[in-house]
Amino acid sequence: MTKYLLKRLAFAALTIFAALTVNFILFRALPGDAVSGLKCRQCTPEFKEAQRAALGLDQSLWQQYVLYLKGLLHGDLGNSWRPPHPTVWSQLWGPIKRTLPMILLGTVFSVVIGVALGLLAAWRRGSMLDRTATGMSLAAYSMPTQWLALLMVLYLAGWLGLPTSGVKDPDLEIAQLLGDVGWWDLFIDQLRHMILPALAIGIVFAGDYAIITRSALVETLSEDFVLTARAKGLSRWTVIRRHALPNAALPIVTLIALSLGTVVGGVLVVEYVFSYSGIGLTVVQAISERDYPVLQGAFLLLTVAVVFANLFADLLYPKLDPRVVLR
Amino acid sequence: MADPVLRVDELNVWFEVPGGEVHPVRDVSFELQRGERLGLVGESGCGKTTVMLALMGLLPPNASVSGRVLINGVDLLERGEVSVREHRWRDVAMVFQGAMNAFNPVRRIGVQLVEPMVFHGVEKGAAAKSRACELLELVGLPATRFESFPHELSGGQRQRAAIAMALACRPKVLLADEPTTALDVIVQAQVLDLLQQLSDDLGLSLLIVTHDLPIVASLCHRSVVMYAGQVAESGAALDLVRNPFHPYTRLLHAATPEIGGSGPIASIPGVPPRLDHPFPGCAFVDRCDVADDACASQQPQLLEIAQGRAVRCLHPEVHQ
Repeated sequence: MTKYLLKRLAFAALTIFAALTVNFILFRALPGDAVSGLKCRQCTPEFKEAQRAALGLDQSLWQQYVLYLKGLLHGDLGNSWRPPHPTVWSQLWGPIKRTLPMILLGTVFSVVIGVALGLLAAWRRGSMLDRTATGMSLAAYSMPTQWLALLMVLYLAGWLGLPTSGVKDPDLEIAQLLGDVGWWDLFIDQLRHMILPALAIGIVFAGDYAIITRSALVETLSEDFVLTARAKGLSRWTVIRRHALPNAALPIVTLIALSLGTVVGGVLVVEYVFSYSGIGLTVVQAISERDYPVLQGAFLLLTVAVVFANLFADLLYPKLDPRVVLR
Repeated sequence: MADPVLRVDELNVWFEVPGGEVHPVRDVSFELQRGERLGLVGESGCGKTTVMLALMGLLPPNASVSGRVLINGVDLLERGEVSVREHRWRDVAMVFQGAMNAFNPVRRIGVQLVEPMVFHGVEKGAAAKSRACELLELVGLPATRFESFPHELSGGQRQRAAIAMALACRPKVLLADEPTTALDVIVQAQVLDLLQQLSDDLGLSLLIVTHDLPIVASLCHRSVVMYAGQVAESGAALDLVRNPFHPYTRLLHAATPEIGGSGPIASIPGVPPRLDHPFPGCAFVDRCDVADDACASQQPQLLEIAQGRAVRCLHPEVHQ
């Protein structure tokens, strides 16, 4: 077990190193840089050169790469290129704090909706209900996230009375400055702001979970031990709850870990539509400004998150299925 | 004779299939006394497993059933799924064909043993756990197997655990569907001994489904031979082997290979008839070695032609 963990950690380090190298090269492979886009009266070629020198862009790619790695080894993600050059970490931490709970809520939505749909479909396999649930899953799976988000802004937000943009009520923000707001009100306000973006992500990813859950359950329900469980006199629901769902947990957990990377793609567009100032909006802004350090920082954090989510899922397997042995 | 524990009366099963209907169980009737062991014998596809599943109400949704299944005089099938569920495992428990997979691989043996006790309100909590451990010891497994996962047991051990699980709710009748198919000969003998011992000690009635006549002859009091969904012959198990009345029983017995025997292994040529239409004559006519013209056009009835011996044949081979 310890040996397995060490092996996996070494592999994780290697993966992260490869990813951050690719990230480093990828942004710089684009023509132009943070300075070339500047347009102003005093933006003479000399001024631009001076700016490049200040950002270290006059050095060779190799030198920049070594500098970046040196910084990382000291836990330094660098500074944003946008004046007044705050540290990347301070630029990312706030958005992460807003995005993480939203992704979490979205994943809860998608697992609940998806597993429920998949369960219904498997339970009434071949029926109208099965076809409806499977059709809905496919529709959700293939729906463009931003389109769904826009529909929600147009039709759902007003009906539910939920805010369509931002992360905080402006009135509440003023009240907070005056210091007469309880933490509970702040919490509820934040929750209200993240429900719609989370639901958009939840619905789009629910399709995956529904299809995976259905096929896992259909397979399990044809096993001998399910017939035995029925022979034991257990009710249909008890059979599914105790002898089919636990067996379907493995693919579902795998999907949660795997989808973390794809969810971020959804976060990008959803946060844009809902003006939700999370990590997605930060990345979009950094791309338009060619702020390499912020981009590198954001992608590095994403890489670490995905790699460790997968490692965690692998470590969880033996708990879900005792036949799995890690070595 | 005392009232039978299990009585099956004119059981018929149909399956709705695309393009028609299949009739795999036709007017099957038999009785099982307390402590009696009955073998249900026949080749693959003769409907013996379907009979078992019908007794438990476990047939797939495209099946329809007629007839009566009485446990101590109460009809199991009267009110469909809900009424059967109360009886499952409490009155009739089952050891399945390929019982190696009777346990959910992700749950502990003990949990699965306790489950039916709690569900039927037989025992609960610590009492249920100690009963489960007793049962494991009864079938010759250490009580520590309570904490094991199914994959940690060998095939024979799993089969024993499956039998222990079947006994959880003190059933009156135990159905065993090919209980030894996947096991090697030695373990097979041990499991059969165990079944015999349990039925003697607990007064358990045993219904064993198998294609293996010698097993039935050594283990069962009586046997019922099925062919193409019908009862071909029934009677005392040993009599059926020593002195078969029905040509099918004779040929089936002859097809059992002998240890150390020389010469080719005998078989019954031909295939069983299709089950999607009524038979014009005897179901066995195409494969029978004594059939004549009457057999092809006249349906034989199941007749009791000797004490406790019934046979469905126009030319029963009675040698006095």
